[in-house]
Amino acid sequence: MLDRTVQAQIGRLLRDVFADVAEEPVPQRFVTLLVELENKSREKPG
Amino acid sequence: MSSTVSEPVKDAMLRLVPNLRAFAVSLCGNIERADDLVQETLLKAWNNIDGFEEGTNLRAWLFTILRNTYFSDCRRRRREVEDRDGVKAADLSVHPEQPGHLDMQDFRKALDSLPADQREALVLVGAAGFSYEEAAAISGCAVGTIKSRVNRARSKLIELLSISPPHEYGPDAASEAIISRTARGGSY
Repeated sequence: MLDRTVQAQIGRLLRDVFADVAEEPVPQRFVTLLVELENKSREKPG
Repeated sequence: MSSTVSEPVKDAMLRLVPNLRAFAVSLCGNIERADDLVQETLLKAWNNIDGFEEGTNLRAWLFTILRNTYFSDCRRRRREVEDRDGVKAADLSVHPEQPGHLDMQDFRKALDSLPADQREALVLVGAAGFSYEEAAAISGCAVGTIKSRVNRARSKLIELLSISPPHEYGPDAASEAIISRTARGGSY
């Protein structure tokens, strides 16, 4: 197999594996976490 | 703490969560631990927002925090990590059902068996789309080191996935040699 074909195949699989997780929606726990952090820093600014 | 996280930075952090999770999974290999890493990363980022210069690359900054958190966890949990590597080492080879055709599962397995520093470099450059320079800054090493890690990772993947002709290294070559020696009437 040509080296360039191999590299392209690896590149594509690498992006697919990454995208598999990266395309999932943001889990609720992180939305909640950032809202809590924001509320906490509003209560005692600085 | 003297400054607080601005609304746009907070929104950007949230938008980057899926990317951080993907990077974390590629480092630690499972989604539960990955989510804990992302949580720790967001907490650290929030508490150390002074360290972030608004207008610079928030994604690279968060990736840096995440990988530093992961690797310092690893040092703390060295024994556990070595156990995991032991399991990986015992099951290194990947045999795609059809040589030349790789599915995602074969590929994941091969990727997980790479040394952590090589896997990190390959994912940063090849999947997350960072430049060699950005990847070097994130990993805290020289650009040349990143390039060599990426090259070693690619070679290892090619080897593991048997993309090169399988008969060169496969068990068949060895057994054929024995068979032909035996057929010739070996003198031992």
